[in-house]
Amino acid sequence: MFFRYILTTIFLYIIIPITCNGQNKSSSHISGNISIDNTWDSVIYLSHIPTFAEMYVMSNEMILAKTVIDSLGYFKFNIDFLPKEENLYRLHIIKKRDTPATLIIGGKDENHLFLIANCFSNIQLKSNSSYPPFKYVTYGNSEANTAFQQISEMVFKADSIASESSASKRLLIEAQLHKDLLLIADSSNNFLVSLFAIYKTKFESNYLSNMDFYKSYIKRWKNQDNAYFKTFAKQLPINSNSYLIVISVILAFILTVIGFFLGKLRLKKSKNFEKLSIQERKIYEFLQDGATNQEISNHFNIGLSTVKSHVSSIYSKLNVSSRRDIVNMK
Amino acid sequence: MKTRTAYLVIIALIFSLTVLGQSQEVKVSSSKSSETMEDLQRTIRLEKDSKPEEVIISIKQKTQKFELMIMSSVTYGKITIEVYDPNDTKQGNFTVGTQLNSEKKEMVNGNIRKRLNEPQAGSWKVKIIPSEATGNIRIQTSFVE
Repeated sequence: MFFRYILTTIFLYIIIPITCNGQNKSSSHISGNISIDNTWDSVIYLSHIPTFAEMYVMSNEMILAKTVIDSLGYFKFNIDFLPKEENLYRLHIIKKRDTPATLIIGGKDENHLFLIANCFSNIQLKSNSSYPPFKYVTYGNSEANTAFQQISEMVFKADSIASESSASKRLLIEAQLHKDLLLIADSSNNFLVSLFAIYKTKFESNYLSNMDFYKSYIKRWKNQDNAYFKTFAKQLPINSNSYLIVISVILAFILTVIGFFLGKLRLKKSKNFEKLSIQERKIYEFLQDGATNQEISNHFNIGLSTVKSHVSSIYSKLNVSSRRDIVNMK
Repeated sequence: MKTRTAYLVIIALIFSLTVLGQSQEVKVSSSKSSETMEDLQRTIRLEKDSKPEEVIISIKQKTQKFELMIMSSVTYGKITIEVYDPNDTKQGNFTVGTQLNSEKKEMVNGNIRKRLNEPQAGSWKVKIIPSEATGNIRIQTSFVE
């Protein structure tokens, strides 16, 4: 009994730290310092982003928690309630006049930051810019979020330069950015970082020129059983649905051809059948039931030679050579 | 006869004011010595609306700078805004929506800002996709030629 108690205690010591509601509560958090002026409200919000397609969706439902930013710009969220799996989250702040569910995209007032976290995360960030407040962020201890931020900054920098450049220079910048993002997507071992890079490439409008890349990408991450991957795979027109459509079209064509020939055959048979006289039709029915010449002769009270003559005529009109062919015509 | 004409004028005035309340366009032009600036502002009011709409912004070849700002707020339902360049490449998007099955009064805001030098000439599209939405959308454009 005592031995059992010891074993249970050891087991709990091992298991509790790896469950989110265990003793790790105090250490799992997102904290940071941001530099904001008095036009911003001193509250920061944490939202869950269920798929990358919803990065720019804002609703009160998505907001999980809020916390105060103190006078020195410090804030802290306890995140022990988050799931064990890494997910995408968004931090955002609002202007004093705005409601909590406010999303500002682009410009000096861009008010949000994306990051990856789970219930074990211990994330510390520092914002090094006031406008926009999340333009330059560094992470103390999160490799995945550092990579995430590098992608955001790369896109931000390219966008800023592109917006001030001529049209031809912009094309070059965009092409280089696209190439760099695909490289990150290809080389990153963290699925969410990799997918974030893909989404920043605006893949919906350029997947055709990189079909092979996306096919191998889907193959590489096919074991990801989460909404991020599933939504992405659905958004890509190269998924298995296209094969299903092709197979369905081929099948429909084959069925149409078979139907056409069967119809033609039936029409031919019915046309031939119309050639038979009334007496021959009656004998034909007996032949279909497998009756012998003698049985037919007895039934119709006609001579055996007459029956033979009728049967021969039926064969020639229906273009068959034996009784078996007639039985098979049923 | 005069009274009837007066009634007609009043009805026409009331009607025009109602229409202006749904969608209003304000155009302001100013010019310096070498460049012309043009600001255009369009406000769209939605009332439990689910009909998608496209706002076309025509950019001329000689446009040097282009700035687009879309500000939207919903008090009910959901609005998705998408911005497309003349090549039909999505240049930005967002969705703002209120909570489903909630009696609570709420407002959700979404703003997007895009600024470009030498923007691609042609028709830029702002797609507005509302779903039972009540709210306002303000599309503000500035051009420098």
